[in-house]
Amino acid sequence: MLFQATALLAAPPAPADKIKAAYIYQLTHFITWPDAATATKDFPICILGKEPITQELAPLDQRQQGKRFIKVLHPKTIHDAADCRILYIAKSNQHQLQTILRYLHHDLRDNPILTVSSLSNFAANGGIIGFVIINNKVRLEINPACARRANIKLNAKLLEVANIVGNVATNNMPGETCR
Amino acid sequence: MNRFKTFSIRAKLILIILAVSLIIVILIGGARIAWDIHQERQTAAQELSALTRLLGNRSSAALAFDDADLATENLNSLTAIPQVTRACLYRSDGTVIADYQRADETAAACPAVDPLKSRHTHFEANHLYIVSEIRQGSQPLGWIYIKNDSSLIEAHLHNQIAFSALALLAAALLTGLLAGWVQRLISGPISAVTNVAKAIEEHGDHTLRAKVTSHDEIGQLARTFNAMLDALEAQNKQLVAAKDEQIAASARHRSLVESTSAIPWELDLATWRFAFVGHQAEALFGYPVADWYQENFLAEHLHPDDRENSINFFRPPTAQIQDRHFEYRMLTADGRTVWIHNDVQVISKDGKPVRLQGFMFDISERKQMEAELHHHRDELESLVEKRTSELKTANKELESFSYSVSHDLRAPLRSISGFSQMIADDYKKVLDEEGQDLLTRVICNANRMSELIDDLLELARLGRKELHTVDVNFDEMTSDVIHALQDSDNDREVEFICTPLGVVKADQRLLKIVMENLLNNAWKYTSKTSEACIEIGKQNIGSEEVFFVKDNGAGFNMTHADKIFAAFQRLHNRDDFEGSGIGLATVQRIIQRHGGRIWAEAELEKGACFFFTLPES
Repeated sequence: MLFQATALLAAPPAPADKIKAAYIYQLTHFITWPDAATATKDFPICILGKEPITQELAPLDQRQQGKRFIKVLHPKTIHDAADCRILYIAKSNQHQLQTILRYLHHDLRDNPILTVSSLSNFAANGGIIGFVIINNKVRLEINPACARRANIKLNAKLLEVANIVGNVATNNMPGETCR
Repeated sequence: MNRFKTFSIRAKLILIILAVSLIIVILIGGARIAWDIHQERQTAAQELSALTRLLGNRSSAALAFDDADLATENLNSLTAIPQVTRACLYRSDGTVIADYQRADETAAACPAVDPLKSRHTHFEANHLYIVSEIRQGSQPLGWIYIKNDSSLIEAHLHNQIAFSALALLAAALLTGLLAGWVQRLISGPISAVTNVAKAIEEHGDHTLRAKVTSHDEIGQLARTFNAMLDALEAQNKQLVAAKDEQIAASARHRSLVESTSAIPWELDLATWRFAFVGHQAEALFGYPVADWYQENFLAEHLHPDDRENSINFFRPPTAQIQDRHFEYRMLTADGRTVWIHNDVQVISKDGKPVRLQGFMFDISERKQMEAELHHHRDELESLVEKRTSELKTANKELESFSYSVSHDLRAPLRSISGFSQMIADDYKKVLDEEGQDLLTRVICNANRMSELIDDLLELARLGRKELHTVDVNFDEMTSDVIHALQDSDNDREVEFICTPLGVVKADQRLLKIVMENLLNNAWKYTSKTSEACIEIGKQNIGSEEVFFVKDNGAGFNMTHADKIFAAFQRLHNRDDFEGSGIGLATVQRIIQRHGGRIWAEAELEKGACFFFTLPES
């Protein structure tokens, strides 16, 4: 069943959202959270805001991540996202992004939350992993500094398949710096 | 296999050693090569497997995030490994994400992954194939396939096989040399023994010996073989010695047989003909020996008087023939008669008589002597008979003569004695002293003559009288005689020592005469002995009861012991001891008539002892 699901998720040609959802699941295998944070029974994957990807992520619910079961959550605001391990910030949050990131960096600085988004320059602006489309393919942008700040360890192989982006704020989108 | 049996030990040894060595070398070489192949493949598989896992692992992220560029880049790193000819990376759905092939490889697309999934590692046509699944944690991400050209390994293996074959050849050569040496070591001594045996068989030289060169079983074989030869030689010598001895013994026997005057012979009972007759027969009988072997030879040359007996002797039923001897006469060629003594022995086989053999002795001389002897004996016997009857007549005449003489002498003697006494009584006054003295002498001599005549009569009577044997109390009788003696001369003191004599069977009157005579003698001859002692007793000598009368008187010289019992023989002067000389003759006569013996032992001036026996019968 697992195989079928994986095959389904990875089967090309997939719409970009479908691939992203699959990539989010794959990410759980290349990223290590601190032990304390993953001691719980559930592995919450949260979606903040609205985006078509939501329906693609729904099937991840109850799938296993290691020994834990994935739980797909929809927090209303960032304030409800303290326990999320992966937080997908939907495109609808484009204007509150700085606020959200600041909140995460300051108020939830001790909570290891992997932030993922399809917003452009997400990683460069203080997010950890951003999806980009290059040559019609979904690619990853990773900000290792922010990952470090969130107390999240990235697998070196993950870095090989991703574009590493610096911890700098671009002009068009002033972001949070991870230091 | 049967061919093998005909090979010499040398060939067998070489073959065996060669075969065993080659088998071992081939086995070890084969095992070594097989092990090498296995090992090489194992190593190659392990190396490739590790490489595959490494590549898979490296490519996990590329698969997870479908990064074909990265995957291809990863696979391209295989250019550093020339053996890898082909590599494919598959997504979990089996589609190819990356593909690598060596520059010289011309294969088209990657093989479909599904049929490979179950095979993992396998060799096929000089190629090693590995298929490995790629996972990230428990997440299956895809597959990796690598094809390895193992021709290098094969080349290495070929080298090794070639080397092994070379080693095999060298080993075979070395083994051949070694086998040659070993066979010399083992079959050499065996061949030596075999050669000696062959030489002995061909030349009969028993002095040959195998050389003992080792102390192992073959050395033992050679020693045993030599010991056997020693025994054989000793036996041979013994046989030769025994044969010589036999020939010598045979010659000795022949010369012994031929040197005797006895004639050996042998007769075959099946044909009743002589089988052998000693050559002495020719000298004795004058017939050539060949004649003896003719049928009926013996029967035709027997003395006519002995023919029937001899033929009866020789021809009883065969089964009843027994060893025996017999005597017969034979006629010689020149017409003489020869007495033969023949000792016949029966030779039986399986309990059945088959031959007669024996010796013929010429006993003609003995027979002649026997005849003469017979003649002489007959002559002598008739002479003795004649003399005995003459003697008997003479004896009778003598006896009647002496009796009648004694008897007839009595009357005139009594007249002389009587008239002389009358003269002495009636004419005492007329006769002077000398006349009286002479007359007394006449009377005395007449009396003595009368006594002498009485004794003679008594002696003569003893020869004629019947014995009246009764139980006699010998002690009482002896005692009576002693008392009578003592009464006759009270002045003499003689010591008598009597030991019990018991009861005897005898004629009482005659036995008393014996005792009277013996005791009288003892009394008489001790008359001049100062301390006279007479001993009467009996002693057992052997099983015989012997009585004796012993005194310590005058005795006599033992040289005259044979004369003492003869009548009228006296050893002492009449002046010394009175006596007629008839007493002991009478005693001897009586003892002899009782069937006993009497003898004396004495020493002059020391005494005499008379012994006698009285057999109870």
